[in-house]
Amino acid sequence: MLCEKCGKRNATVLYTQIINGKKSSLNICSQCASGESLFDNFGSLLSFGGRNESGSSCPVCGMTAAELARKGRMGCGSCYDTFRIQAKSMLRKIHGTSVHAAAEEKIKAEEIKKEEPLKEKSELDILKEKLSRAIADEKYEEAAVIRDQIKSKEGSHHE
Amino acid sequence: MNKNINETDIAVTTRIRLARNIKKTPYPRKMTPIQATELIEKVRSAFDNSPIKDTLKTYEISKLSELEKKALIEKHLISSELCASKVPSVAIISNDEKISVMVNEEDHLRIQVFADGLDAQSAYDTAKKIEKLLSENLDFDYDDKFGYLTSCPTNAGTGLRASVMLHLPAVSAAQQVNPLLKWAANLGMTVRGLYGEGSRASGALYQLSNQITMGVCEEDIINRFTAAACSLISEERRISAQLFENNPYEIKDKCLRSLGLLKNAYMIPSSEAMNLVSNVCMGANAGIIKNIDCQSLRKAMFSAMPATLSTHMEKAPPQERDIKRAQILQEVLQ
Repeated sequence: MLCEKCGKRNATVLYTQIINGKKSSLNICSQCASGESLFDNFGSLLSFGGRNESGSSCPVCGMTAAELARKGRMGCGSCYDTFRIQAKSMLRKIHGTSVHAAAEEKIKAEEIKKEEPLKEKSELDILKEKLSRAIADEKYEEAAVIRDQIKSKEGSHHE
Repeated sequence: MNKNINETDIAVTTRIRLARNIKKTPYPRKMTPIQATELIEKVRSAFDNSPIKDTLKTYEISKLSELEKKALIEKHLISSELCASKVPSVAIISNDEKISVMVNEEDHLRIQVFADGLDAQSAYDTAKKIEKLLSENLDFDYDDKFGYLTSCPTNAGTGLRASVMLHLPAVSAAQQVNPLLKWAANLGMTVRGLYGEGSRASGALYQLSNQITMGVCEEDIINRFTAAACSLISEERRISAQLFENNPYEIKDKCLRSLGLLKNAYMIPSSEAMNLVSNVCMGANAGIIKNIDCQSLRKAMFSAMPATLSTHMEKAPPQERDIKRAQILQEVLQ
């Protein structure tokens, strides 16, 4: 097995580190093992966002985060799941996005759907404000009309 | 926009490539020889049940000689990556050499379709038909967010790479290649030499291809790619007209001198052949040289590339290949 750090020499040392109960292991050569702050170097390379994927390996093909960082290629489709944060970062660098076109359209459609009920709510809020004002001004006839409008709006929203 | 644009005076061939992988199977670099063989069998049986089965031939890479491999690489029908595969790999190629499906290259499947001139649309349509045919036997790996998953993230999303080989003698002579690279990059495209990444542009032949495969749907890639190729073709025409206007005698002399050499030389090495054919085609496009079919001349030139020629002339010394090349080109010019 080749060293997972330099990728040149044979790995002779299993380097293990436990941080906050999370165990990370690397198979490395003796030269790389003699270097200091080994995991710091990998940390800067592999820590994407908050989740640390550096200790994970793919359950289907055995690909490790270090191997992925070195080769820039996935070992199988499951690697995209195992190293999702890393994959997203790589895709964004290459394509400027990490979302497939069909998925982008779906997300946009969902955003529009989400926005619509928000508009309805804000109209409802305006009516409720008007109602409070009408009551405060003792304009009861106007208040009754607004109340009916609110009722019909709420009814249509719940349907 | 007319989708089936041909422009064969400048555009030589178009290639469409779809990269596809099978669910829950490690990619070729990580798969076992048994998994690789099983996949090959599935692909073969999908083709065996198809109406095009009689037009296809399977090439087992491990059974090919080094020369046969080189010849197929020269014709862009297979890649060096396929030949370097550590697990069993095959190429299923149509008799007319317009379709080539590589199994166990960097990805499980690389569906390639070629068309004459610039015609990404029809090549794409054929590639989709092959994809559909194979999807009846195989379950392609598709992620809701990422689209089609590929070994290299540079291909993920659509797995679609469109490329066209363009003959750009004027752009090349006017040293306009570097600005062109920047222009292409801004459009999400890339321009390379004839044999892909890092290769030299022999005979003023360049490859334009899309670089972005994610965040854009397949149809849009085809349309944007075609539009970029068309702009490049018009740019070549514009610069060519300028060159002829500014140096009419020199360029006319260069084209006719090249024709003279092609017609009369006894031996023509391959790199010289590429440059001479390039000059003759430029002259033909500008109307200086009459009655020359550039498409046939280029086809003859590609059929006379070193490895392709050697498959017909085993163990012949390079000089004999150069003599044969001169004869092949002169036959077309007669």
